[in-house]
Amino acid sequence: MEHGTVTAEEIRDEVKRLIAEVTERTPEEIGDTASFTEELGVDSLMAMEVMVAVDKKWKINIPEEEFGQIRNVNDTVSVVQKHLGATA
Amino acid sequence: MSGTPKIFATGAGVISPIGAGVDEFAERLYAGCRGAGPSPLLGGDAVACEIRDFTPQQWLGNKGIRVLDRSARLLAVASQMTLSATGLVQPETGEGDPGLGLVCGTMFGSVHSITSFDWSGLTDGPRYVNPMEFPNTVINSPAGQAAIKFKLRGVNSTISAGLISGLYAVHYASEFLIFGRATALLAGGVEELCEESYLGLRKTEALSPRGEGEPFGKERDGVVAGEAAALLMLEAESRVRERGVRPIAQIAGFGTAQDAYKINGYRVRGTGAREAMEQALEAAGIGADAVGCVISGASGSRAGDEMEALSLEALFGARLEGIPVAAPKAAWGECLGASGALSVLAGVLSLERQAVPPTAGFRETPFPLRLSAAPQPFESDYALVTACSCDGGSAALVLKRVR
Repeated sequence: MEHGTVTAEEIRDEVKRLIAEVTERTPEEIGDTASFTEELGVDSLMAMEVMVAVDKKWKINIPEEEFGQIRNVNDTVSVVQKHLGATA
Repeated sequence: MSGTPKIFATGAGVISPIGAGVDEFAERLYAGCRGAGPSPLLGGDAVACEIRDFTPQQWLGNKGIRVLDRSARLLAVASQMTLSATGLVQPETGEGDPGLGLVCGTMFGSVHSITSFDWSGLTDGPRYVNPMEFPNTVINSPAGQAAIKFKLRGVNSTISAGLISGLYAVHYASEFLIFGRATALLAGGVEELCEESYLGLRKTEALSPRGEGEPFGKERDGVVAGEAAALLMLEAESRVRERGVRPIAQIAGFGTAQDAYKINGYRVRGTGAREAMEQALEAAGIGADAVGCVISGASGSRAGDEMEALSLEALFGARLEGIPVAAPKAAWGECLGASGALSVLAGVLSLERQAVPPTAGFRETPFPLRLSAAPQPFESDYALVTACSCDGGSAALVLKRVR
């Protein structure tokens, strides 16, 4: 994966796809600012699954404490971009 | 079991290579259908009794299936069927019933989930293993997942005892009901077909090279691997009366013994198997002369089937040739930990219909057994169900007809 070519929209689509998969919804149902835990019912195991999938997809390494701060899709996109920037 | 509460089966659920649901299963079993064929799941030239095109969504809906492995899906389907058939589906909004539980037999359990979790760690690296797959790696995961899905808050146990697991689970659940520790228990077994168990069975030369299981047959050369989930709802007599439901059979007696001989071989003289059968008859309070039919666990194994035939001969003597015997693994293959539960269901159907199912494809046997490729009628209130495991364990269960 060429990190430099990944756009914010591509990250957003992938994150929505992952959240949709673990919460058994469609990506269209996942809002940019919807709370993972309160609005979408993401539990700790689901969150771990998404974190592992995100790390694996872009070959990055988001520390757990940083991942724990993520509340919604927008947060996730920012964190992924930050780490892609760091490894690019 | 005189003096102790009677335990009844009040309904069942089954998903098997010959059909899903008790009605379809019964129809195809008695029609002599066989589940063996090329296996899309295993690929290559593998022949197996596979549940083809398995789509759990039609029973379980679309939600909550994603994280379940194949075993858990199969068991959840059988649970849903059994709960529906007995009117014991728990309301979605409630907390569930603390007297309602599940006892599940399985042999290899989660071997495929364990392997795929390990494989991911080895190939992608330990950082990238999927945490959602980890709960599936324990052997009691299917029983636990079914409990969560259907709010079964009572006893939740998994019995692993080789090929006798399914029969053992029915007994274990019965004991809990006898002791008043539960009000209704789903009991039976599950086994999924997977590459790992298939390879193990092939490498230990348990599989039929021809891909044709011929239980008790003259030309038998091994088993055909199968998969299934089968459950019975068990309830004590008082509860059956209270609910006003009609039982489908009584669980009248159980016995088990170990030959303590080899980890993967039968002791052909069959002492343990005969002892298990004698114990089951004693527990049911009947003599061998009261048994009207035998649902055998014979699978096509050269040594195993011989052992079971010798045990039956030792138990019944000259009368054996007059007792209808069915070896239904000819239909559903060797379903390992689920086999016993499937056999109990075949026993229930036999008593209801007063005819044992065909031993599908039966041609010729070297043993003095009354086998047939067609259903065989009989008149009796008792059926003997047997299971003999390649690890030396044997079990037998007596079912009594409910009129």
